[in-house]
Amino acid sequence: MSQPMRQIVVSVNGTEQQADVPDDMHLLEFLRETLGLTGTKCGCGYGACGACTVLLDGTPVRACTTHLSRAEGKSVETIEGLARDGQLSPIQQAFLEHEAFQCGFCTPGMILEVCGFLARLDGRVPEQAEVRQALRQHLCRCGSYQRIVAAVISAATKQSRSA
Amino acid sequence: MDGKAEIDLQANGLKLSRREWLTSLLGGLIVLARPASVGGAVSPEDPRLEVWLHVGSDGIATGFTGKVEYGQSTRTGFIQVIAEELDLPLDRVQLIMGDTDRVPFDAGTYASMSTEMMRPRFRRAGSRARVLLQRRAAERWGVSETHVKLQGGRVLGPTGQSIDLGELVKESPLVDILEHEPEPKNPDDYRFVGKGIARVDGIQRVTGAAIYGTDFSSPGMLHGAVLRPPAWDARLVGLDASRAKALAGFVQTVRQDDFVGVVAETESVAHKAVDLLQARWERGRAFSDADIRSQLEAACPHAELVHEQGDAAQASNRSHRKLQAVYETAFVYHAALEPQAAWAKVEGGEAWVHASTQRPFGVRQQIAELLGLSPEKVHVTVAEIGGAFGRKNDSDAAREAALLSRAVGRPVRVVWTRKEDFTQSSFRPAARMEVEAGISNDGRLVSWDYCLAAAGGKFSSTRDLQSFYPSDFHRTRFTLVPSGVRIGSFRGLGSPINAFARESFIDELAYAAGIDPLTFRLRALGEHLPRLAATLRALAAHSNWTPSTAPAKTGHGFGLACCLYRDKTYVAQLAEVDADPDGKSIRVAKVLTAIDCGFVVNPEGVRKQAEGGVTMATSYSLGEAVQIEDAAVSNARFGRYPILSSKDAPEVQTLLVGQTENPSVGVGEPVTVPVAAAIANAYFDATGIRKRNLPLM
Repeated sequence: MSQPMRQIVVSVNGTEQQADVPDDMHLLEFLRETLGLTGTKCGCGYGACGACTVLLDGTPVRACTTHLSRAEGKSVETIEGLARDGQLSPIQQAFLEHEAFQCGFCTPGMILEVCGFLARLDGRVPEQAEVRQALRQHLCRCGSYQRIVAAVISAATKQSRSA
Repeated sequence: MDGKAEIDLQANGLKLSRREWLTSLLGGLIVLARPASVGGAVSPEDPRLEVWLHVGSDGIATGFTGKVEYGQSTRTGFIQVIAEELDLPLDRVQLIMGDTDRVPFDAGTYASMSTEMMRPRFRRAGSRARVLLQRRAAERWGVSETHVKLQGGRVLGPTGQSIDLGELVKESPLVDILEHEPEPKNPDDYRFVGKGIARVDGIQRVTGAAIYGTDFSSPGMLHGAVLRPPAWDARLVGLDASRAKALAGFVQTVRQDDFVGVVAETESVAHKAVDLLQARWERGRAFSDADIRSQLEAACPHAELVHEQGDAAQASNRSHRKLQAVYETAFVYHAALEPQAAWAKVEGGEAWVHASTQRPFGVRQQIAELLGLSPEKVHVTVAEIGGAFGRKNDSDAAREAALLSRAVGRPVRVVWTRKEDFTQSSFRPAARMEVEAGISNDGRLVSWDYCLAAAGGKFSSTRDLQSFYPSDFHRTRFTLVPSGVRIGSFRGLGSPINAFARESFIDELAYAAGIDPLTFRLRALGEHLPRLAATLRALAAHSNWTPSTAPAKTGHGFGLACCLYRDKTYVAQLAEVDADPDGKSIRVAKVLTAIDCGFVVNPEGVRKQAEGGVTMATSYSLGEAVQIEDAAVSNARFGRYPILSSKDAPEVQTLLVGQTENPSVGVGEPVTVPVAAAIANAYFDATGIRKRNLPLM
């Protein structure tokens, strides 16, 4: 049974990627297996845990349920692409400073969701309850939520000051 | 984070600092001057320095331990201990964890024993290394070793002499020849230990650079997936693999008795191929969780006696009031976000395994038996672990990867789907607790009669079975119901189950006696367990506990509970909840934990374990129950197994009340233990309704 293939062009972390991939491939498999970007995790495979969250043209999506064809011609950002010139992004830095992780498996997905969330706020600093609501579909079984919420507010505060 | 300056980020990846690089490497590539015979061959009781610690000529100290890190911050804590004794900067200490070729034997990372076991060993090894280095420098300079000291990675002499400690081991490595046990450093002089030092492996976690079991790969690696039975006791009676074989990327089917695996070029093809296998199964007895509850209900009259003390008749005479109650708990699933995952390469009569496991030496033994190899021919290293909670005491994926690799002669990685991880898990057993107690007319605990019936797993259910509250008559019984469900280790084993019944019932007794629940506990303890009483008092003082002899019934309530874990760690917790007056919903607003875990190596580490443990225990106390129909899990999806998210997670506060002079003991498990009862007690205060079943909603 030969598999139908398709050619895909997608920008990942600022680099254009061209590849022949199986027709039914999802974004998560493309990132992890084709490109070797294993920072994006698979926690469930059906969009319920948030571990595979990446940015698609700046919007957080679940890579495990996003068909690769949806990314055609678009720009994808993963955890590996957030730091620039040896500097962690403000959100990564805030997660690090607040130690907003234990095992760290949910962390990349959380961070990408927060990127999208803070971008939507456009410089406004969110309330705690708002952050908790925004991250409600991300599971952290280690239970680092309190620190994650604190990290998000701290990153938002810094961003609003520097804006 | 001290390594911040060292990272050199590139387009699609990054260079890690030296330590991060070393700790993330697969064993076999790190060259260290170290006796080849050490790996796993020496006893964990061996005091020799070179077993635990190596000081390299590059001035880097390397600690060796069979313990592994999955979020507890032990990697950081151990590095603090070593750096402290050697007066080394933290970034000149690294750890090799869980590498069976390089570290002394260790039974596994469980029961919250890592710091308890390793702090004394690294302290001793570090202080021995310090004395040996001082001696070498003293000999070199012809001065007395009492005038030589270590500071910041250098050894300093009395008249301005100074040498990097790496220089002192250039010609020959440190070998332990000490005739006396040196005094470890005085805690009053500590610079690193006792401080909230940041995780040394944090950068890897926020950059995606940490390589977990699901992520590890090697050249030529293939992917494996395994056929799962539709029920725990189903037997394979027929198999047609022809449709699977037709898939592009299919490599091979591997069958050994009921084990059927597929090897393929990619992970998705391997799983698709398994879905295309046409298997015929012979099903056994169909049973549901309701059937198991009925079995548990009938079990206690046949329970075995575990412990009995005092005279039942006399205690009965002294009992002014007698109460009895029945509590129940559900099967619970670990739900570590990283599923079972392992890589294996079997070649030339040897096996290499890189797995997400809490028990590398256990995996080594299992793989050796499975493949008919001697354990020395099996080399296990441990990946970064994405949550464990007891489930990764087993590595099913490692055994599967090894079988598949042997069959195809290439490295194979096996990563389970969430559905597999859920349906094939080894759960905390469901349980039923029957308890009866008598109180005297002045509210003293006179008799205590407790029976635990667990749906499988004596080891998994009986920890802290016996209540620590003294009473004139005391009886403890236990019985197992063979449920047919796969049971295993879950964070805290039976301790949270037993504490739910004990601490809920203590509150019931307190209210029945018209005594405030805190006062009732303190009176019941009397002179017994002063550290537990002190922990309870600290909790009460910190929270301005208001004594009360009746539930407030205002929709807002407070409840407390406590435990002594493995006769070592003392925990008292206060939960604050909001509940609907009709009792249909509950929200845990806040949990305050007071913990005496002895000397604290890293207070931030303890707080994080408390925050995480409380959150996890709140989650399973409120809503988690594995449902069973037709001898299989029937709700094996995250959407049908409600794990607490940030939206409903409680605010968690932690109060450290341990004293410096006491040994460091465990945190991660004990902090989960009283949570369920504290919430149930708070819910009673809020509503006047007593909930005796977990999950509460």
